Amino acid sequence: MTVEKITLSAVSSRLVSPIDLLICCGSFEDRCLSVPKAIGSEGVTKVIVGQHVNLHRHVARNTAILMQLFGDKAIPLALDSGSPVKSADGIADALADCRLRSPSNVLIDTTTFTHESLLILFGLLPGVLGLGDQLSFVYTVAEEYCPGALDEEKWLSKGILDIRTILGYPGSMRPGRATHLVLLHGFEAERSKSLIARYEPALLSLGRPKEGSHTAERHVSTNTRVHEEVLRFAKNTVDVEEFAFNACDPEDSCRAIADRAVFRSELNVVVAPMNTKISALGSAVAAQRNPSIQLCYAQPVMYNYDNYSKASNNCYLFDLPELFGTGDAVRPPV
Amino acid sequence: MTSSFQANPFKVQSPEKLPAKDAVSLFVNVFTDFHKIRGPGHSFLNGPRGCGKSMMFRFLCPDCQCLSSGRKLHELDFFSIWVPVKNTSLDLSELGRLEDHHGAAYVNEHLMTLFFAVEAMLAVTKSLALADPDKLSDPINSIRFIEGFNRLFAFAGVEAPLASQAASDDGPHRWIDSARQVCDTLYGQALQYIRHLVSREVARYDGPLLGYMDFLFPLLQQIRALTFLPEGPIYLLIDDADNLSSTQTRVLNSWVSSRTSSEVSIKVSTQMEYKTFRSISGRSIDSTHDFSEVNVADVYTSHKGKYLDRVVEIVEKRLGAYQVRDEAGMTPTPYQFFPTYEKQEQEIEAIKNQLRAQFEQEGRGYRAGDDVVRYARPIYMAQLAGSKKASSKYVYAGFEQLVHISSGIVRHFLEPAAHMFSELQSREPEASISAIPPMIQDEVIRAESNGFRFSELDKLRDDQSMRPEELETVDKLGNLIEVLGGVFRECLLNEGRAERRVFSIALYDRPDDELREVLRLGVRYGYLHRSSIGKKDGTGRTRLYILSRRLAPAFNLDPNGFVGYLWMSAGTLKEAIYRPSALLNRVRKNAAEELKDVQQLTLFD
Repeated sequence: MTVEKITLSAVSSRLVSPIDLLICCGSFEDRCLSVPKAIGSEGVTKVIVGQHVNLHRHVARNTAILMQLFGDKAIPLALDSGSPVKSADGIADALADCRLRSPSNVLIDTTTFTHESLLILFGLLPGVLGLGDQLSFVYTVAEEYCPGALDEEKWLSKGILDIRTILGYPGSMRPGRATHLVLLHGFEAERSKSLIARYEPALLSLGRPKEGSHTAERHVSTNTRVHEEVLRFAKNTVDVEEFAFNACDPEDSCRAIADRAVFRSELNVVVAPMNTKISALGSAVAAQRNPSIQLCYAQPVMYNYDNYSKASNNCYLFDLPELFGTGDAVRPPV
Repeated sequence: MTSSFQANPFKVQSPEKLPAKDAVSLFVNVFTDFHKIRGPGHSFLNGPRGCGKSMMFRFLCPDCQCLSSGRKLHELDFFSIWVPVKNTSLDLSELGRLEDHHGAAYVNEHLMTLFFAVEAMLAVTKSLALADPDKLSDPINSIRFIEGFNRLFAFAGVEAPLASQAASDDGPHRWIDSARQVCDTLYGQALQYIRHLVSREVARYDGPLLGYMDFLFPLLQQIRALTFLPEGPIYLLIDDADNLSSTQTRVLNSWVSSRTSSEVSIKVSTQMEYKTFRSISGRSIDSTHDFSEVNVADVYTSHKGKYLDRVVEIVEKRLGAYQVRDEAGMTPTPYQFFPTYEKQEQEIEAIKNQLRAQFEQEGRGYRAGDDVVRYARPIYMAQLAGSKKASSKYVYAGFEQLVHISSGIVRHFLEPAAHMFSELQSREPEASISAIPPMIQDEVIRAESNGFRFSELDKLRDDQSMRPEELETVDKLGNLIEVLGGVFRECLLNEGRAERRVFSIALYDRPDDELREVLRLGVRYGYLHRSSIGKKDGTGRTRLYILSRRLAPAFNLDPNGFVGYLWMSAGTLKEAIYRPSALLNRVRKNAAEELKDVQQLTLFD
């Protein structure tokens, strides 16, 4: 497996051309445009453009830009952040519409999918792609979250509308067993605290990104502050153990989560992947290898639609060859 | 005695993790307030997170009942099976695939039946240590149970899962655990089927389908017949039933509608988000007819003394259990452990004396005592806000004040108290803590209040900053809360008002869907408590919305006592949502004129 941090302008040159299928997601964040614009219409054969239709008011503008950018090559994908079944059906329909040649090379821009919709998509891919196909992932780094706001006033989302299992990762919740919550928190302390309060786990494994594994140096202080706040909260009510994971390495994240999952085998394991999309994919791989792991998602009441992030010029490019392909989608570094 | 390892007596622990000894020592008997829960019959126990529902259920468990009553297991009045429903235990996203299929109810009921069956067998296993050995070794138990268990599966088309002879020769631990394993295996098989529902093609289900009337209820009857268990009914304590899906909720309602309560009483706790009272057949279950209902928040916000008495008992128990001692070696009272700010109370006392002295000439109430209660503290708070311009210097300290701020929810007292204790410990690690200084009480409770104010809500979204259609429900709620806090603050400061301590609004007219959604979100987040009040014109009742006293420090309000309300129109609340700043400015400018009427707020007519 390779994980590279490169500039957006280098994405095309790093991938086998043309890309048979690009899957991206329109969003209120302008980051949703970064990779598609860097690649351009000439670099792809087909593009699936996702859109969370229940957030249409906020995502329509950028989704329209993506649809226009790719013209006839674009296949719309209707997602619904309130209905995982609808999202799954939308993904299945869009993938069927692609009529991919075999073998094909596919790129998923994970940046602005919700964690839930990304992992649903990931879970459905084995039904469409095989070992001969090449699958790569890209994630555009945010230069800053909630640009301009003081660190302690930054917010990305508010409230929890619903907590549910991620479709495709139901786990094996046996009656009579207490819960082991493995939490990879993001920038939102309140959301993490709410999750802990609602689950009341017998054991909380609180993940902390390893030093040097934050997507950008600027995020370190916020992440540290949130971690300390969540830890302080959790220690008052539950047994807590901390563990480290590489937020920019899906395989490392997978290993770290898998190790925690078997730590107390008498407990039901629920993993809440709320950190990077990269580590979220790691949690999905862990759950696929150990089906007793359940993945959960806390749907926010609202996002900071007007000021969520500012895109940087960098992105992470990676693949998961043990699941898809032989790793040849990415050209060797020059 | 000094110790740097003094355990925090207010640490909130999940009742599930509490050993019986701790649960009994910490439990305060609230069943005099909620007697319907303890008695036979189906019941719903509703209340916000942290109001003590799970603790009640924990106390009803056999180990706690034996310990607290001194009775043996078979002598108890009932046998409880506690089933906490975690967020994502039963409500799996894959089950959403079945929602439009006729089999949804059957599959969900099958899953729930097995889930509760396993929990039931586990409860029996846990209780074996409490059982009378003679009764435990009675062979009739294994013979009857195994035969009955196998017969239940025969009806479902499953061959006898328990080998009669071999199983009956083993002790009860073995054959009960064998029965549990059978149910658990079937549960696992059901999960396997559900896993395949991720794809659009709904796989055919070929396994057995078990339900309440044909399996779970007869199984519970078999359990009840075990001679080492009580002869009384089985209580199925289903905790946090809000975590069931809509279909699962309807299945549960179907169980509640069954006339089985004399043998199996179903006790359901909810956090006010129970999805429906309709059963699978479409019929609604009714309180009084099908079940009794208790709303903890209503009891503790309407019966003034009860909640205070309960918290006194809780704190006394905790201080005693954790061996908190003062310098004289005595356990401090809750009032001593959370002292008031003396200087402040002396100044308020001086105002009280003045009011008593002036009552004959200037009194407004029936008695001097009425004026003292109504006006002393508001006058003091207004003085702080006036010439001294130091609103933040009102000190929120003192046991009763902290109880009022907790708004009828025990957790909202215990959690800040735990933080106060931790904070003091961090500042004085070597000291033995026997009281929390007023300033630390004030500091922590203000931080908690501000945290609550802004945790879910944004700061005031000003009139010009957003177009009305851009406001999300959370924004609207934020504006509403800020306006209510601001208006109540103006009431407090206004000398012309007969009642200055206002914490509620009553609606003249019906809210529209939009406003109802905002108010509902406010109740759901705990910012508002919903009650009802008689209409002004005497034609029935209308909604009363009470602001959570947890917000009192954030808005510099007086949280003490149960106080007045303002009549408002739905239109005015809509204005609060969309033009909060304009409304607040108007109230502040014209407070003397607009707030002088005791019964009505003329601005809001």
